[in-house]
Amino acid sequence: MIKYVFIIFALLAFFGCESKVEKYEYKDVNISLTPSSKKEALLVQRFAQYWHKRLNGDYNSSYDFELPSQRYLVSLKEYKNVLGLYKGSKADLVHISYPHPDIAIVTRKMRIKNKAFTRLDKWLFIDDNWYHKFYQTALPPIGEEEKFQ
Amino acid sequence: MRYVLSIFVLFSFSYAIEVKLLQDSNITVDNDDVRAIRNFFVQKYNFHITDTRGAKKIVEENRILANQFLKEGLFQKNKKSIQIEIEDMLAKRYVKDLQNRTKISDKVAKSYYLDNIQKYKKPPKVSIVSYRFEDIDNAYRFYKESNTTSIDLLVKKYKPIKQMEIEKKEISALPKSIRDFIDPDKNSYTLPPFVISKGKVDVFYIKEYYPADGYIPFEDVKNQIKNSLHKQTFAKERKKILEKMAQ
Repeated sequence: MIKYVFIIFALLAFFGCESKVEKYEYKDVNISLTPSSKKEALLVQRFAQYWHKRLNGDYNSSYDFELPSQRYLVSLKEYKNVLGLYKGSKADLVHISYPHPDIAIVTRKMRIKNKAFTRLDKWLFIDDNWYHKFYQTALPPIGEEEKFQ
Repeated sequence: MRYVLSIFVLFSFSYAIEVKLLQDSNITVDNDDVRAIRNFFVQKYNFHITDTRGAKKIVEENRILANQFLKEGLFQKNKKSIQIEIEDMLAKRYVKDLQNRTKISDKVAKSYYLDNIQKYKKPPKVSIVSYRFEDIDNAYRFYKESNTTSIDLLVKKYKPIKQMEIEKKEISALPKSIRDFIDPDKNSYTLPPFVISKGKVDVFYIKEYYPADGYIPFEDVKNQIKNSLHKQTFAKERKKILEKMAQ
């Protein structure tokens, strides 16, 4: 009897834990740093999930990662039109800086047709979660970090 | 018939709204009318009618007069202008209703705040002492000697008629003539004399410059952000409706 009870508890613990830890290891997203805090670990997780969706053209899901203020102003349909299809094949998170405790500037290296490009992402921490800012122009946010010094 | 005056606003999908007004023979006022007139006064004149009898009287008198207007055939004569007035009123009401339906959460506002945090940097400030002189020569000497002599000694020497100290004043709130002379890299210096009027010459001594430090808290600008976002969405919604109806 004790044996069965133990097995049930073990199964519950196993499935319970599995549902809480979201998978973010993707073949097309690489993380080149070790998070230094829980908050940063969450950012890394969100970054991986977001770029996996973007690289695979899943804009319905990536839209939910965008800033609440941007989603308020730009509908999903407009968002899809603005972004178009992303041509990159791999994203690599290389560095994170914090110009403000709730603002992160993430440096990522993107592989597009066998060439690597360095780009900056802006993520904001709102209501215990990180949200990405999308840019409505083709130009990347050059010098974004300096803006907040 | 329960209502004194029945107003039928019929929507015509061809060109314009068709307005049809019918007279009523029996003038009565009920509680719904009282409620409506109270709301109307609050919205239009920001005035609360507390007295129920007074509210009833306003409705009743308006009804009698409106009925008379119809009886005398004035509606037909003024039909076009009344139609324009009603359309204007309905459009405004619709706009208001649309605005009330658009709610902006704190989360959306916070997102805008963080994304535009530079806008919410606390402004730089200065502490200033102004010295007023009757004579321009004394004011000029005071200014000139302040480079080499302490202000306290100069005050004793030139005896300004008035002296006023302003602590930590936002630079943006200062007159442009002073603002333009403020140097963020300097402290303890005087500005050239300003002639205010005959017998009134001011010399400003910049005691200390406090650079921009920190950000204005979210709670202080939350409503301002919501209003700004509201305007953006509202303009968009309005355009969408007009475009849809025009098709």
